[in-house]
Amino acid sequence: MLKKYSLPLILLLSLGLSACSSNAKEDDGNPKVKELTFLSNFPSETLDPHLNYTAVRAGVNETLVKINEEMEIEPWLAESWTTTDKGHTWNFKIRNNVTFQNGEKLDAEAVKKSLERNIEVSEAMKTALNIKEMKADGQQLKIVTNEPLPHFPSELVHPNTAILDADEKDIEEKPVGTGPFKTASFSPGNKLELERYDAYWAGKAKLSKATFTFNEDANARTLALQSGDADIVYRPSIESMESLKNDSSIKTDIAPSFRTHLLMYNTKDENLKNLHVRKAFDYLIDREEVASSVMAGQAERAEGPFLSAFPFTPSYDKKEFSIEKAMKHFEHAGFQLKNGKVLKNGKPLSFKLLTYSYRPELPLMAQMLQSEAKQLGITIEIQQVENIDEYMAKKEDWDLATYSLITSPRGDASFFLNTAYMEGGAINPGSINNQELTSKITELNRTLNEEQRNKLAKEAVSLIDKNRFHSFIVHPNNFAAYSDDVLNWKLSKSEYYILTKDVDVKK
Amino acid sequence: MNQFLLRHPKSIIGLLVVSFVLMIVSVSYIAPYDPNHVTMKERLLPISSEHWLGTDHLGRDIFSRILVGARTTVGTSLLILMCSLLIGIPIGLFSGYIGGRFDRVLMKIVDAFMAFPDYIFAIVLSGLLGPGMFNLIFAIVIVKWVGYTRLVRSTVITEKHKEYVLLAKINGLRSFQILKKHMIPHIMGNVLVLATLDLGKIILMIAALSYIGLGAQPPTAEWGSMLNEGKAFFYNAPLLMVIPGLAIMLFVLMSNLLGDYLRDKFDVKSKKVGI
Repeated sequence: MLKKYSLPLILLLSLGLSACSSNAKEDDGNPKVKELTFLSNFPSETLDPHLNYTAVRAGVNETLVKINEEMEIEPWLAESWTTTDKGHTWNFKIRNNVTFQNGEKLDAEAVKKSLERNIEVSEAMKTALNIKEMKADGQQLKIVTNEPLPHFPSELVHPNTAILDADEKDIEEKPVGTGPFKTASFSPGNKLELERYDAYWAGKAKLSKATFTFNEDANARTLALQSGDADIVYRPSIESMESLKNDSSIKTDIAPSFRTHLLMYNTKDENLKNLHVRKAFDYLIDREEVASSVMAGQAERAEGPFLSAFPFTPSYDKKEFSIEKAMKHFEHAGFQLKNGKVLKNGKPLSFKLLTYSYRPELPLMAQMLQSEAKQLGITIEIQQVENIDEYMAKKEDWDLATYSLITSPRGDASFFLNTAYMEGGAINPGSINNQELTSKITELNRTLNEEQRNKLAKEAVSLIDKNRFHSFIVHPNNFAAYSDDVLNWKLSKSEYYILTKDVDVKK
Repeated sequence: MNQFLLRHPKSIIGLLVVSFVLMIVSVSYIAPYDPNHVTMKERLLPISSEHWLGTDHLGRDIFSRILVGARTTVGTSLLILMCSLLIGIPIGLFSGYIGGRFDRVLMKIVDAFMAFPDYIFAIVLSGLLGPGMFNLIFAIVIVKWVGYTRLVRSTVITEKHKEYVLLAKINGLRSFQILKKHMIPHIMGNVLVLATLDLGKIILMIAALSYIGLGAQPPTAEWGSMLNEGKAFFYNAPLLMVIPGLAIMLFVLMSNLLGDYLRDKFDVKSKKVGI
């Protein structure tokens, strides 16, 4: 009996299963179901916007202030803001017509609660915002800072200051924001599924659904786009850009970024405390080759942390690649030279360099440096780590690290200066603590006048440059590739806004 | 010659070890370039008289890296094999010979190790221990020793009840001497066959773990990690993946053919128990 029906049963079952696997785009035949898949290089373990950028990038949460493509700040959830005492007290007017994705109205009290939570969970944001007290009254939020912060509104551009409903419980996996999309499901490190929030204050989004996925393998991302598994791919492999450009069904977008790849020095290390040792390493970096070969021309060599176009960029010291000059600096540092090899107390030097693979060019830069150092008899042991921030925060056994970050996310120097050079800054694992620099940054934080601020920032950056606290290597271009079907999508310079209400797909 | 090899399995091991050691030592002299020297000006060069197999994405000579990679890959696999034999054989010998509760407990442990597919177990272990050659060696040895224990134990169990062993006992030979004089010569043939076949598998395992970034770390030349590094350039410079891929394939094929040949010679098909 069972045998008789087994074949038709199996056929029926497989038919049923194959129906399940088909794309939602096709199965219901509803032309209104518009969806898109975005594939990025960075997995996110949490959706908590106060700790991670993904929720803002995916259009779930929004900040009070945003930055536009001209790198100027503009109102977002805050309609306007004023200060009466040179940046000590700030009055923000919160937009009136905004609701959270759970239907609750956004008022100053909700913003206050969200910012309070932000300060509680993120030490870095607590330092950056420096809030003393807040008072909410209807749509008016008064914020008093511990000391005058003339650039305070630009701090509120940071995705980690995103506003969420702090009364909701599952913030890690389902934060409730005010953006055009709400979280449908989230699997950490793997996938985020979004659906449209119909009552979005700035008008309904054009897409009904969207998926954010992550894959750290650049080739896999390229292939996903070519096979149609993804509609927008962030940072496909650099090598594939030429072939993608020739594909008529795919569009590519390349834009200069405010990102800088750099070499960090752990100044707790006895050798790296010495300026000459840091200068020597700087001479071992072949920036020209990194930009043209490793980055396949998709980068500009970096002399300092900021692109030369910014008003707060000083004239940097000329950087060059020279083994001879590196040797001279090692000699100045008090090391001996024997047969072209650098020795300290008769023994060869060795350093541990950290790198990570999310940005595949970083391990290559590490290997270039390793090879150059080897010519001087210096051993560099490379360790590739999964989460470099966590490693550097917890361990002190590293000497050098390749790193990458957006140095001027709000078109302002103060974010980078505060986080990378102040004691306890979020990206100061090498414990840089220079009195002169600290006082310059503190003064910058208190100054309101734009011209004066630029002058102070210039002086601070010059100090950083002269002291080689970091070696800045290249400013990489931002690049993405997307299917021809995607409409109204543009690579955002700041890398903060990826999915907006305007993004659409053909069909 | 065949007769000689059959009677002297140790000579085969000796011959193999000596030839590998010779190869490993001589590699540094044959390699025309420093395998780790980065020359960005010469990156992704095609095959030429200067660079017999071209250069990679960091301008390193692929031929030199394949040679030195052989030392890493083959050398590491031999080391893993040796460690697995040194752990697996004595445990199998004692477990089979002593028997009883001791044997039962040991076999439960062996079963527990064998319950997991070896690749997955090795990947999980390497993942937990972190990337690096030492951890990779440790992870694969943990996976591999049990096969030898099983094989040796089953051979010992069949042999220990035979009359010549009984005679040896009556003549006052101590257990250790019985194991050394009568058991070890019996198991060596089987172990040699399994080890030769395993060599290929171990190389594949090292390459697989290095490919996913858990094994050799840059800039160490290792065939699996060369494959991994080359995958970004598969469209533009397929040689970066093809050459280490071929090297792995040829070596695995060679070790498998040798293993098959030895298996036929020793006729141990029926004796391969529990592997």
